[in-house]
Amino acid sequence: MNVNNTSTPFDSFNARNLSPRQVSETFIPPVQFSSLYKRAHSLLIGPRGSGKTTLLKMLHPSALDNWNHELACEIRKSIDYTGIFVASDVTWGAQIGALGYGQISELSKNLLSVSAFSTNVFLSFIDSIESRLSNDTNHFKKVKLTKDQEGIFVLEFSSALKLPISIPSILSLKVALRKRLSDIFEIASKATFKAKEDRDNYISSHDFLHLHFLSVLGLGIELFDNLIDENDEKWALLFDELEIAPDIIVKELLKSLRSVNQKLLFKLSLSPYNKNIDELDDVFSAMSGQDYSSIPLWFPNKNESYRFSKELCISLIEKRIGQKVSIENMFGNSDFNYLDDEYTDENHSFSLMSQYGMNTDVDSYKKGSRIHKRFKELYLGDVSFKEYIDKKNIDLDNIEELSDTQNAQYIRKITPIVQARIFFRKSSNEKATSRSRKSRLIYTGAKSLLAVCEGNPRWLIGMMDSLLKQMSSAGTVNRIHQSNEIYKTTSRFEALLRTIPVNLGEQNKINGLLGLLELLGKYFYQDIVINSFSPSPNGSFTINQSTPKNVIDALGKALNAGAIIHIPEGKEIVIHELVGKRFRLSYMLCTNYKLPLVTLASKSLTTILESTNLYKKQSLVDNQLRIDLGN
Amino acid sequence: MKTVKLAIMSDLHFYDDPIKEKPSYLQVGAPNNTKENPIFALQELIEIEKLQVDFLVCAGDLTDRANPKGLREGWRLVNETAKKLGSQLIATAGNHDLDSRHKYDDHDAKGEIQNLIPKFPIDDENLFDHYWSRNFVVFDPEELNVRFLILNSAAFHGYSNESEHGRVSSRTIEQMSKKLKSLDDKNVNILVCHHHPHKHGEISGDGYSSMQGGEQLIDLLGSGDFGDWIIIHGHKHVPRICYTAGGTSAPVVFSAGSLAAVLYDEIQGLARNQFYIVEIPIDQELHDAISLRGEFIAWDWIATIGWQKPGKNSGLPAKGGFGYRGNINNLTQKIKTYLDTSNEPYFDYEVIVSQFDELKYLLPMDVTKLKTSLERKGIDVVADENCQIKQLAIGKSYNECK
Repeated sequence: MNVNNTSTPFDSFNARNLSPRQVSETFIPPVQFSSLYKRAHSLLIGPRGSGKTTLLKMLHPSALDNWNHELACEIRKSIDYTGIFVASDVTWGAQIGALGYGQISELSKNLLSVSAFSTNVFLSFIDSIESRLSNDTNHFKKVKLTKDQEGIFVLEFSSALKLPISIPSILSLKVALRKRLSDIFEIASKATFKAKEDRDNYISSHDFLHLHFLSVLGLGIELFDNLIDENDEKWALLFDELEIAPDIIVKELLKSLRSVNQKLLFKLSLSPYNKNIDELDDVFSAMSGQDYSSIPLWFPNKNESYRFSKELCISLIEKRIGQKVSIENMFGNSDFNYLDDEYTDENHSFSLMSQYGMNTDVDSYKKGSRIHKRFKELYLGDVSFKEYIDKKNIDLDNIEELSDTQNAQYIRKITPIVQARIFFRKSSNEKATSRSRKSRLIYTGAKSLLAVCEGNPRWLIGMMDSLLKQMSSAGTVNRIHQSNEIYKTTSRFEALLRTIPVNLGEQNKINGLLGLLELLGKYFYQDIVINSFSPSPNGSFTINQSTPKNVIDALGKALNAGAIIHIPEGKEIVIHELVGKRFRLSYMLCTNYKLPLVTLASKSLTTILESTNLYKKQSLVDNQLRIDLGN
Repeated sequence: MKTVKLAIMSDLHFYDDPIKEKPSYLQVGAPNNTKENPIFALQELIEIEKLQVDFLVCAGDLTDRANPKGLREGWRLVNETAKKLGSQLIATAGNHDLDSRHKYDDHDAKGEIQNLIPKFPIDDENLFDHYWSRNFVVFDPEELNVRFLILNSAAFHGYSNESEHGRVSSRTIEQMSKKLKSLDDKNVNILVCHHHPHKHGEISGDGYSSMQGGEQLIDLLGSGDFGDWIIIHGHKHVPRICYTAGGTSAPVVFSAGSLAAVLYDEIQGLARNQFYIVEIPIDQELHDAISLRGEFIAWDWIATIGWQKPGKNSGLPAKGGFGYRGNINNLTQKIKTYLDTSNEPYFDYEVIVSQFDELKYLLPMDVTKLKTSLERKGIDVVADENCQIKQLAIGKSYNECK
């Protein structure tokens, strides 16, 4: 088998560097895609690497046109708008900050920033138009424009833009808009040479800076639609990564959202914990005339996560080695086979589980089976477990014959805990350093591997790529390699988390964000694995009212990075604040803290923090003193 | 139209030991990662774009400081690349390949290079002998009206201060002349050597003075007695294409940029690592009527990204040509007349090119002249991000701001 090294879009872990067309080459729609492409406003929410940019780019006409997938035709038919993709640029903040070298007023800086942003929006608009122009109109959203029509559009639009152009062509318009971007910086620079009191006037005298992007864009859309005789069509503004857009731009956007334009849909993406999120949610909800949906890009329901992850992996593998494989064959079975958690229906019977392709084999508990052996082993080696089983009157040798569904569920529920205890209480495994290649064997196998990636495409692709290189001639990947890969990926993730600056207070001895997460991990480990056996140990936490603000902020960053996962109550998605909400550690991190891959009972955060000696409870008296001393 | 296609690469500088500052992106034994290994990425580019040529020309400095491992690995990979291109490989020695100041083992650099399999610079026993004994060899491929003259401009390396510049001795030139006189003319004549035969304006400084004897060589080739010539060389790592001084038959000089060397500071603003494909028409009638001309495409190598279209200051642009030596203003006038007689609001440049074939064969520096000349005559030009002219129109301006 030839592991082909031809670079594909899979190679680039960051959709930011890919054109919409490239993104569409390998796009697998997650279940959320159907909510996103609806003819409605959308707020797409997810941590890093969850696929926000990919999803938004897929709504660009060139992506949809190029997309090849069994659902592609059907989906194209139901999309009747043209997407305009506008990326936020992390360098904007720096560029704007540098505008005028700190010599121009806030007012002027804002004017210039918004103008730069608007120019980018216009460029994206032209880009989408370009994608649609073609002599062959048999494709998605393709239209033909004569040179005269092109001229009319360009002249009228450029006039509205107050943009000098030379040739009445779309290319010329594009070139002129790009030039305008550098002009903006030039104006800022020139202003610094003027006398201080003249600077604002000088800047403000450039008319084009005062154009409002939404109204000018609306004009452009109308012009174009008139020309191609599609007056009922809509356009969608796809704003990506709003969390890195400068404040002033988000404010402008919010302002624009409030003024409804019937022809425009808005689809925005941002991270889960974001100060603008409530305002956006409010504004969207208030916008009449159009539906609105908030779309989370994490999977509270692991069945869907598994389904999506599996499809993505199979597709990636196919692209690499040229054939479809069964990932269960490739990676083997998993110890953590039971992927449901409290979030699913309590009356979950075996038959329901089979719908989700889980191991419903009752025989898996049969006497002599692996799980059975494990249960027996723990029974013999763990006194607290023995006591529990005895009290419940469960005959381990005859589990599959349990007629009482309650008991059967109990067994299923405690299985992950049993497995974790067995694996991690073994002296060889407990003593093993976390660097040991075998230390993560318990997390190997198809289902666990995918669970660890939490449906995050970036992690999935990275891991798969690496594992494929270690595939044997029989088409399998050795568990030691899998274990190693988990360790490596987790280390990389932790390295990233280390770079996130947090302030946890000097009185605490917690070492940064990672230290905080480690604290939680260790606490759960103690409860699940070390302490006396319990069928419902603590494995998640709730941020309670008395949690200090700086800790909440830190956890917000953790949420945005994908280190902790929100466990929603009911259907809520947009969380306006973290207090009162429940979270678990990402399964990726769980592999480092020797935790089972399952959602467990919740404990209040401050209780957890205070139980350690790294954290000092905030003293009210101390706070009072600080205020009095005018600190 | 029958053409001959050449791929051109130069100055790979394969190295082995991790010296203080790495000289290139090609370390022996480095992983085959398309984002970090230009040769590997190039082979992939060849596959993706389905590039096929008649000859791969490698203009020397395969290795760095005569490193034998670098030389062997470099030669292996260059041969592999030639195969992927479906082409025959033609190389020549560079100063780094023969630099005997650096000794690694018993063999001297010359010995190393002469021991390579397949034979260096060309896989033919007789031609090999001639090259090493006379410092040049003429190679006439069968069935193509093309001639290669492969020169060893680094022949005198390792003997004195010759490491500073290349050389073609008067005797060699005399022998070349004799040889060429004895043969029938060919339509397209290509000289391959490592060093630059004449000075370049952009770079000054000691290490880069031109080949000794270069002017005589140019005179010989430009005499008109032996057909029209294009000289392909490397060494400077600065891509450039121009005509030499002389009469109307003065050779075209193609200075190839380096494929993989880490570019030194002074040229950062002028050059990138590049790879080229040149296509030259070899029809008989064409050559009776006009001088040697052709077109080229170029790619940039950017570390951690890969091969991509060249930008503004990369050296050679994404597309270009050479050979048309007529008057630019004349050409502009013809274009203007054409535009005037038509009603179109603007023209795609491709359409203009199909009307005026000469435009294909303009040097990049002449294209710049053309742009200026067009603008002076009131014709607006729109170019894309890679500086390629895309559209023309009779000038009007719209929305001029106060």
